[in-house]
Amino acid sequence: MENLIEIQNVYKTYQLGKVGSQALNDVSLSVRKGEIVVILGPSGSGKTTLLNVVSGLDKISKGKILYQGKNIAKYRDYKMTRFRKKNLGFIFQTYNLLEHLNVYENVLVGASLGKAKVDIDSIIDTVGLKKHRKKYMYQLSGGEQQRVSIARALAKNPSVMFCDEPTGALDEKTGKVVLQSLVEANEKLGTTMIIVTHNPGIALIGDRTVRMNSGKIMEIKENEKRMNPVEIPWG
Amino acid sequence: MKLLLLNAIKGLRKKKIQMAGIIFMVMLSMAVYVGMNSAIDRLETRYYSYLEEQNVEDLSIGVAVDYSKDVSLSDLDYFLEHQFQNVTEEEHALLEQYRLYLENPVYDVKMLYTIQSLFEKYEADIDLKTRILDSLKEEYQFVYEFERSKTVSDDKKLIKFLPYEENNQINQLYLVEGAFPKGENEIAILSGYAKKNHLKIGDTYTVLGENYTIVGFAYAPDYIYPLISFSMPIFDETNNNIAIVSETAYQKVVGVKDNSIALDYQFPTNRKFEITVSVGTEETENNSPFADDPVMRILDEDKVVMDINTITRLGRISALQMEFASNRLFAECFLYLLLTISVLIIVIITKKRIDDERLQIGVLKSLGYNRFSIAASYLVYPIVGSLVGGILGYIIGIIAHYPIANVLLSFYTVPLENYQLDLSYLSKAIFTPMISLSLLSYLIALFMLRKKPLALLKEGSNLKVNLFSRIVNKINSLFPFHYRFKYSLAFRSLGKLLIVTITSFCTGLLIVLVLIGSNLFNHMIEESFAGIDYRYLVMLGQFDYKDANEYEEADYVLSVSVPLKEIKDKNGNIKPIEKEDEEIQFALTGLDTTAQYVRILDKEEHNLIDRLDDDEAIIVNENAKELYNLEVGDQLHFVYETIDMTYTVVGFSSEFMGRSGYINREAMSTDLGLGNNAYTTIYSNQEKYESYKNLDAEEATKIAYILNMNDMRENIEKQMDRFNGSIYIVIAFASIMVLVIISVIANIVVEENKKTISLLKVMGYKNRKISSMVLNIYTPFIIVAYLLSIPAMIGILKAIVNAIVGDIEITIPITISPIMAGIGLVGLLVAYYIAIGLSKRVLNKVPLAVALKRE
Repeated sequence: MENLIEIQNVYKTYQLGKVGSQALNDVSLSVRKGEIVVILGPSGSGKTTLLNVVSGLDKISKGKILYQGKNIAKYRDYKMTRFRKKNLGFIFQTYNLLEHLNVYENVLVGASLGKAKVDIDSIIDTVGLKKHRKKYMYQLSGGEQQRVSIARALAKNPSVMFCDEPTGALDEKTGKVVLQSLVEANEKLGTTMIIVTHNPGIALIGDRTVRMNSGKIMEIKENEKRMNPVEIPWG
Repeated sequence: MKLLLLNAIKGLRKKKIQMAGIIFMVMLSMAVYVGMNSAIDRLETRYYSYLEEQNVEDLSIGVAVDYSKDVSLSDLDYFLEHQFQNVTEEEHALLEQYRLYLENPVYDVKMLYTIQSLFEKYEADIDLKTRILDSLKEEYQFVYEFERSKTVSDDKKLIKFLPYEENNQINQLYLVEGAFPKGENEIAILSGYAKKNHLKIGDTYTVLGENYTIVGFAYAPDYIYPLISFSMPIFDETNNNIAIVSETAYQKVVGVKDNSIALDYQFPTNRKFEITVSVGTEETENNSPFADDPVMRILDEDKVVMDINTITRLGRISALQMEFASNRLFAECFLYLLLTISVLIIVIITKKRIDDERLQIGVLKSLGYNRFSIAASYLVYPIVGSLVGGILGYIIGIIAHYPIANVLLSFYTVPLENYQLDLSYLSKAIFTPMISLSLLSYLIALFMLRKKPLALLKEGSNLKVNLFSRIVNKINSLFPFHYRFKYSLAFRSLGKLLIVTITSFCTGLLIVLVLIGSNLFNHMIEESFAGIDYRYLVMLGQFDYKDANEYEEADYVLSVSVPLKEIKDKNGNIKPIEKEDEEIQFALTGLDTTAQYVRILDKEEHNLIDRLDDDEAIIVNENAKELYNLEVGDQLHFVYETIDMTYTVVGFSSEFMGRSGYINREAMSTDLGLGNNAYTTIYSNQEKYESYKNLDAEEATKIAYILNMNDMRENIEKQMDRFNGSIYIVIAFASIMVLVIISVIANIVVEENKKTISLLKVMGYKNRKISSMVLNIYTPFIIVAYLLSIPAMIGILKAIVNAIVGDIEITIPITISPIMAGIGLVGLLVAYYIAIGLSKRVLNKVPLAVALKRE
């Protein structure tokens, strides 16, 4: 399988006054198309920073980030925006939904970016929220909100989805439902998934697990097979 | 609690722009308030004591000598031996005719008016007036003095000469520096004029070739506003002067005489020299409007009239009061406008902080802290804003009051009180904003903190969409997604929307104020001179006669002031006239329809003069129209002496001062019993009227005064430049304020939607699209608020002007053209979008990942 993303010798330094903090220290990784890669690590390991730089939400200090051979680390703001529009989807721990819009409209926000016409109701149905179509965010539980977020991200059919602690604010049952949605999206649509988490159980749903600590990749492990999200140990 | 307080203090640093906006507005409002009031205090304190010390007149009167009854044959003989020694043959013949009249009276208006002019020309009327006044002074308890002056025109300079009379009791001259003149060639002048013309005590001052030595600087207390000539109605320090000379020197001065009678009551009048006429509140036996007013009661005497220049004279004395009133009013309005805007901004900051800290607040409440103490921690914003802004504003105001006082003194001749530090202004500068801003923001914080702890602690408790928003969203669902997104976001927080709209409205008020103010005086000048095509207005001291077509080089005009007695509408129903209006004179002007130097223009600039073909037609001015609520077709009934005159309204002229009406001259002359084609005024462009020297003796003796309209316009425009200078300063300040307010609004809009903006950017929305969907959501509301501010500001200005001018009859045309309004709107929106762009640039510097994090 070809590499969709290649991360080559990436450094990220945060300057705090006169002191520099090395958040990423010579990180290299490649991600194949259609893969689910889980980045695992404790708090402060640099996993979220890695996610942010790979997805273009933050700039690197040194190195390359190649998407199908093109170095996106050099992209200017408007080009990066266009790139994200065409290729990337995001799911956040805090959902980041628009509370003044209902479920349908939140998904529409994502769908409006795609060129092809999208059946929004079908996407909402995919994430099991058909009954909640007209509801506002304050009327939904955490898990339901996260599924809205997934639907919004999928609505524009991205080639890569970045998920930053997608179950961080959820209980086990709800978290597993969300993970199930992600896996189904990957299997049905072929969307490459990069999931950041501190929960080792979640690592089992992916194709590969990348362990990070202190800004470095400690280990990259291939999973023999993906585990069903319902069966994974939690925590 | 400490935590919240610390957070609030930290928040000050994050809200730099907003806090700077509050501090700036408090500072500016206080600077204007303290500066204006301090300057006015210095003038006002001294002004009233000055009036008392110099024994300024209580009233200026004229005496109406009835030449049909008040002159006996023996009086005439006496005058023939004394005052009338050097009359011309023609004048002598007239006096003989008058003798015949006295022996066998047959009322002849024309002859009596001519006799009056003759008596006044040779000052034979003084004795008659003295006799009348002496017969009244015991009953009305007054003393009086005849006031004399001569106006001299030397090149572009106008000088009012006054004789120095040491024993003068009323309107005593005030010595500023040096000494009063004693010798024939000594003179005392205005200190401001001396400064502008680089003159000092000891220098030679030349007027019309006559050399004087300046011995002192002095003021005349009945010339506090030194209106010397209507040709130069706005005091020009450089070209207008009051010159005090000895009696001998005064007799030699050749100039236009202006005599009047100053009256001083021997009982305390306790008046502040108002120019309004007080009116009795109950019906009295004689129904006089002056019956209850001991000061004005003397006007009940049919011999005593308000001097036709009384408004001018009292205006000269009391005009400064209008400055006090108007400047204080302006300072108060300005203060409250800016404080209102500051309150709105503080409300936004407080709300944002409470929203952001709701979890902490929820914890505090669940621990047992009440919302009163929690709300108190948010007082740091108004307290800091008021303290810093108030102190700075006070200091700036104290410094600024010096130039403000000097500007006022460039128009008025009154001594200035020494500056005394008034700490009450400091406490007002700090505590007024502190109390008003703190109280309001405290109450609002209390309201916002009303939720129960659990509700605050619940995740997403701030995400609720209120009922109104849901209703709006339902309506929105009919529209394309782009609009739905925008307007559901706009209506998401009604409070925020209201604040942005109100703040925009206040900003609009400032912009409209600037636009109207920048053009107001120019507009007034244009309107005033719009129908005038003559250079010289020549006012005669008596009636003369000329047929309309006799000369082509001038227009002949008949001017008479008469009281309006009755108004009837088209159907013959009587329209009521207010009691106080009954005695106020209506200025009637008789014009020929062939007039070539004057046009009677209406608001649309149509010339209405042809309507005077009808002998019964009258065209009244806009001011009279508003005062009497007149319509075309109404009938106006005047009574002049014993003569009734009725005219029908056919149109309205665009003139805003006084109450005036235009009538066909021939008809008016006949109606008044003056015979055919009488006139009192000439409108002409003939060069001979440039100076009295160019006129033949006969014509010169007929003339009371000549107004040079070009000089008048030049004087007004030149002085307006000074006003315009002040206006430009106000415009600059207002523009800065507008920019500050808009920056604050823009900053708030960007900050409030930071997460939404960042999220859309992350998702891949372009900047332009994001601006359209998020940042421009308030644009329609800003436009509507601005449009509403236009009639609001026009209404406010009209109310302020009416409050200031009171009974002075003036309708100032406060308008704004659609183009100017459009310019204001464009300016507002451009400033708004620039401010949005700048705020966004700050946001763009924050990495998206950071921007999306929960605060």
